[in-house]
Amino acid sequence: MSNVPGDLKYSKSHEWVRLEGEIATVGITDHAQRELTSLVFVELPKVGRAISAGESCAVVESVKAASDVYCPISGEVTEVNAELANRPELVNTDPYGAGWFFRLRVKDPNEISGLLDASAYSALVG
Amino acid sequence: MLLLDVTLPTPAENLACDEALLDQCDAGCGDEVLRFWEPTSVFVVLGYANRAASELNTDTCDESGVPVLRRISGGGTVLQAPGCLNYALVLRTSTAAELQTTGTTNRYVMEKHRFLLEKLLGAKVAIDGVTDLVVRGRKVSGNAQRRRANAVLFHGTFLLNAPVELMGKYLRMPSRSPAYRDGRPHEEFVANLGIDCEVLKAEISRLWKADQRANQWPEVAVERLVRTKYSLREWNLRF
Repeated sequence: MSNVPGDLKYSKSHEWVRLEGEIATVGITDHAQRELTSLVFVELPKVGRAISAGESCAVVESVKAASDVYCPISGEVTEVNAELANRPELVNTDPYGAGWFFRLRVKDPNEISGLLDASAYSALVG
Repeated sequence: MLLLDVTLPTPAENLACDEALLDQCDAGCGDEVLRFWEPTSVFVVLGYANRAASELNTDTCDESGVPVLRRISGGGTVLQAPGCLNYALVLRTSTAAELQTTGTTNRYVMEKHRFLLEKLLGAKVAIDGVTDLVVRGRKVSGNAQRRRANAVLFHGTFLLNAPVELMGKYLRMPSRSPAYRDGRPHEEFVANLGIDCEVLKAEISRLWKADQRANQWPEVAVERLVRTKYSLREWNLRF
C-alpha cells in the first residue's frame, strides 16, 4: 500500500505538491517511485525556468526507461534538490522528504485547487 | 497498428523519427506504430543519461570519424552498424493494462519478443539484464523505453550480422552492466542471431498486428528535431 500524506496535493501523473505561501515544493509520489523501482538518474529543471502546469519538467531513469515528470502547478523554479544528482535513490527511500525535486514560486496559488487531495489520489492509485 | 519500414539517410534523422512518432502519438494526433530501420554506417548511440567519457573511447571515435549521438530512452551505450535491425514500437499507454507502468511494459514487450525468437531459433531464449534477450549466455538484443504521459516508445536492436569486433574499439566496458555479463568484453558478451532480416521483420510485424503499411512519417518534426537536438553537440555530448 502506497503512502499518501494527507497534507499534500497530487496530480493524476503522480507528482505531489506542498504549498507554503507562494512557494510550492514538488516531487513524485510513493506510488510512482514503487512503479519505477530503483532510480539511477534524475534530471531537474534549471533554476529560473518558468514552467506551466502539465509541462514536462524533469526526467527520471530506472530499469532502462527514461520517463517524463510533469509539473503539477505553474510557476518559476527557485531551487532544485542538487543532492539527487549523486543520490537518485533518495527518491525511492524518502519520496516526500529528502527525495523532493524542486521548488517553484507559483504563478497562481488557486491552481492548486485543481489538484487531487489525498483521498482522491488514494482512490486513483487503488 | 501502422507499419513504417523506413530508414532515413542519417543517424540523426533516424533517432529523431522515433521521437517524433512518440510525440505525435502522445499528443493524440498519431497512431500506434511499429517502425523498422537499419543503419547504413557505423555510429555510436548513448543512452539518455550516459556520460560519453565513461562509456566511449572518445578519441578513437573522433579519429575514425564515428559520430556519437544520444537517444531519448534509458539504458546503455550501443554501437550501431550495418547488420543491426532496429525496431521502434510507439504505443498508447491506454492500449493495454501492462503498458501503464515501466516494469510491466518491459515484461509485456520482452516476453512477446522472447517467445517469438525462441520459435524462430528453436533454441531457448532468456530475458536478462532487465531488457536484454539472451541466447546461450550471449546478448542478441538490447531494448529501452521512453515514457511520456500518454504514450511509450519501446525500441531496441536485434543483432543479425553486426560487426561485433568493432564494439571494443569504440565502446569502453559499460559503467553499469548486468550480473550475467560477468565482466566479459564486448566480443564475448554479444552474438549475432544470423536470422534473415526480412523474415524477422515479417514475424515482428505479425506479432504486433502491424498490418497497415505506412509510407509517411512526421517529416517536419524530424527536421526540427535534427536541427534543434540531434545534430547538436549540446545534446549529443551533454553528459
